[in-house]
Amino acid sequence: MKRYALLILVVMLVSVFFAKTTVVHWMHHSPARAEIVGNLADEFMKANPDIEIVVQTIPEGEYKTKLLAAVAAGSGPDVAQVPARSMTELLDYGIISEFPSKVVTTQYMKDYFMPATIESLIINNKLYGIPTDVQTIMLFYNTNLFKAAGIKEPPKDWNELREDAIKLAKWDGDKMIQAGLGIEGYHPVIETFMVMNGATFTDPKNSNRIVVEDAQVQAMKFLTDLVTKDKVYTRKFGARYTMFRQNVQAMVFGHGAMLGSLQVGAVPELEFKVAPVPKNPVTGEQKTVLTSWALVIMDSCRNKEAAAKWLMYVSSENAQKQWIKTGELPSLKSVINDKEIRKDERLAVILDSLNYAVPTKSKGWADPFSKFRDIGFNEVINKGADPKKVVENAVLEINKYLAETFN
Amino acid sequence: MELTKKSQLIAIFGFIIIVAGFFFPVTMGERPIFIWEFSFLFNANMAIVFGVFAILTFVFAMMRKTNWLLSAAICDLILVLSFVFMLGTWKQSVPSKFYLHFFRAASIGWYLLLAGVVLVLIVTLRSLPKKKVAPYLFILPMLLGIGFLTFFPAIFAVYVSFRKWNIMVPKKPFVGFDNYIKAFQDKYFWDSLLISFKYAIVVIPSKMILAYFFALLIYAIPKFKSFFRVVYFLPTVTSVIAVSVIWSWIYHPSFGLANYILEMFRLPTVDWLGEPNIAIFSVAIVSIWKGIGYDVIIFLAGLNAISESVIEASEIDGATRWQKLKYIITPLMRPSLVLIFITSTIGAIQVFSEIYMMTGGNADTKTAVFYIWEYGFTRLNMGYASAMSMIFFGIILIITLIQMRVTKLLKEE
Repeated sequence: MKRYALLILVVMLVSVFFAKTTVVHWMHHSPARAEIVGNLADEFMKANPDIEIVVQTIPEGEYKTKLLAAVAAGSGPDVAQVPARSMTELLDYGIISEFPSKVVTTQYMKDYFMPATIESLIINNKLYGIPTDVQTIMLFYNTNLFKAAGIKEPPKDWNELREDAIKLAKWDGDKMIQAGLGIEGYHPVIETFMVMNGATFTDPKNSNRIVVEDAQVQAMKFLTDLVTKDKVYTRKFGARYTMFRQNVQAMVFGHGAMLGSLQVGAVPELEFKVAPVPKNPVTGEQKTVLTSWALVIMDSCRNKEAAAKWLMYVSSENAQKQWIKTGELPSLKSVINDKEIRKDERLAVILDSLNYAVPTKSKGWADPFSKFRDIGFNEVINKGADPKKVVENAVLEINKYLAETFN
Repeated sequence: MELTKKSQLIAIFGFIIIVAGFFFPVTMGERPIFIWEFSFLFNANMAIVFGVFAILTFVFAMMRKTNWLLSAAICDLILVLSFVFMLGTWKQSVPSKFYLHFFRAASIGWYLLLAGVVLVLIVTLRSLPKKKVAPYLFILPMLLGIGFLTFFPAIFAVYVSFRKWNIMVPKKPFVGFDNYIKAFQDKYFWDSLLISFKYAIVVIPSKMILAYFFALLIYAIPKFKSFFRVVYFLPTVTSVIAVSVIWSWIYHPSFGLANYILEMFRLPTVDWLGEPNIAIFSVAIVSIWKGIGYDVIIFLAGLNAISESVIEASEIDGATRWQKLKYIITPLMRPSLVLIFITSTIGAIQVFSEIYMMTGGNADTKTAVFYIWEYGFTRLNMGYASAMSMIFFGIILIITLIQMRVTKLLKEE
């Protein structure tokens, strides 16, 4: 009996000694992403046999709710993908952890990564996340429809954008048969126009408040006028991306990732190119709002070094080259300047946008800037509300959220 | 009722295990924490509180008073479970912000206390006459289920509604009626309630009238009765998610069946789920289609319960079909109509899944439940969401009471 007990004890001790570190990785699901992360995990585990990576993907619609519920219940992952705008909030909650400097330093990130992609991930000079799912707003335009309308180049500024959109929109009585520019109030698009118009959103007295600026109101007015006055699009025509794929809409704003997905389900005759969002004719500003996610180490992770090692692997040069296939933009300077990648003309335009991109001002888990769309853009389009009033209202609601969350 | 000698000995053994628990750490980790370091209500030392109840357990075991021992054991169990909520103390063992992490910290002391209490509880229950215990044991799983999953969250929501309660923040300060005041001043909350009522006003009468009509048809034409019953009931048993996805395609502005039919008749197409004046009614149509089957079944049960002799008597008296329906069948169907009226009202006002799946709350379809959900799970403000839920509960309660009163009055007539 004693012998058996001793044997069991030895086996237990040996198994503890040889036990692998398990890193549970949560991310929202997309088939392409899941495949790439799965492959990267296999490669990483081959190179690091003492670390086991368990990748769990969750549908995007449920992801945020499930993640926080799991963390609260103590069954959360070791590393997770979270919206970069929510970093401060998650740090306040104490659920994310600093990256161990043994694996990666803040300086390394500053040296090798694009500044706009890491701005919200470094807090008080400490690194809390690695950028992923980086996206900027771009203009996609249908070259055939442009040619048919006698327009040679994509619009360079807002005036040209308006003129071209009006020229390209076609109506048969009350029925739209071709849209000039599909626009439905996606808030990074609205924010891009506001920023180009000179909006800063910043309240100098309180970092957890934003202010109403004329630049915001004018940008909102410009965008809503395109629909209400210039009639370049109506939602009745159909969802903006669907109609672009159907070759009956000349332009649409979207993330760089749409480059691939606009081709899925598109009619064979669709030919399109990518251009930067047109400049503001007065300020001459060329900007695009950058939204991204971050790969973070959860506070409850037992082996933070192993987790950090894995996350650095996922965002390594080799990995980022694979990510591009899913439509995600790279964040490493070396990948952005890679000659091989830049051979793709359309991709090169999107990569260039990272040079003039500014991170979104939206801050918080609940994405408060979506209020510009929820109670702003839609109220003007659907109810004829005054753009000034809706911007004031949206800012009021955003501030309520910021006060509730950060004070 | 007295304990047997054997049961008494086992109960005393349980008491000894409880006492042993006092000498081992309740939680372990960075620091072992013993029972005397915990505080119960009003800062009372947990060792003293638990000690008093443990001694009572021992005394009642010695007196062999089963009912008293049972009461003491239940109190002991509540005390053992209350350790989970003493996060302020046990987090010194395992730093955490969440109650459920207690089970990572729990140590031999807590397990001994639990084992001792459970032993006393089992032996006491076994000592009670089987006839007295058996019925309670049968309903116990259901009671636990309803208690834990329905009543506890509902009562807990009242507590949460008086606090600034973010699920991720350990500090949840008491804010009095602030959340309620905020809800009464929240324009968007009242707008969402209005949308809920707009939806309910369309769904309730349409669903009831159609269901009653179809039930009467099936009742009047017994041929293929089972077939039609199944046909009408199929949408009801189909998952709301599947139904919502299918209807989203039907409503698609460019490729949907609904607009295709309109185009066939050269009518202007409609943005069913995007146009704010229409979207909520488009969702209502889906709910009517899906919910009709359940109402048909209830109405059919009511119709089948009407005595044939009453119908025959009316026929002998020369009642026409319409007279039979108006003066005989419908008055006798009143209980079923009242049931469907009240349950449909509650169900319609609480609509969520269809909205979540089909419009995501856009195009003026953010109903009250959706708004509350958004506040709780997206903005993580559970305190405010709970306060809104309480107000919402009050409104539904008032409506239901009015309905019950009105239907009672109808009955008295």
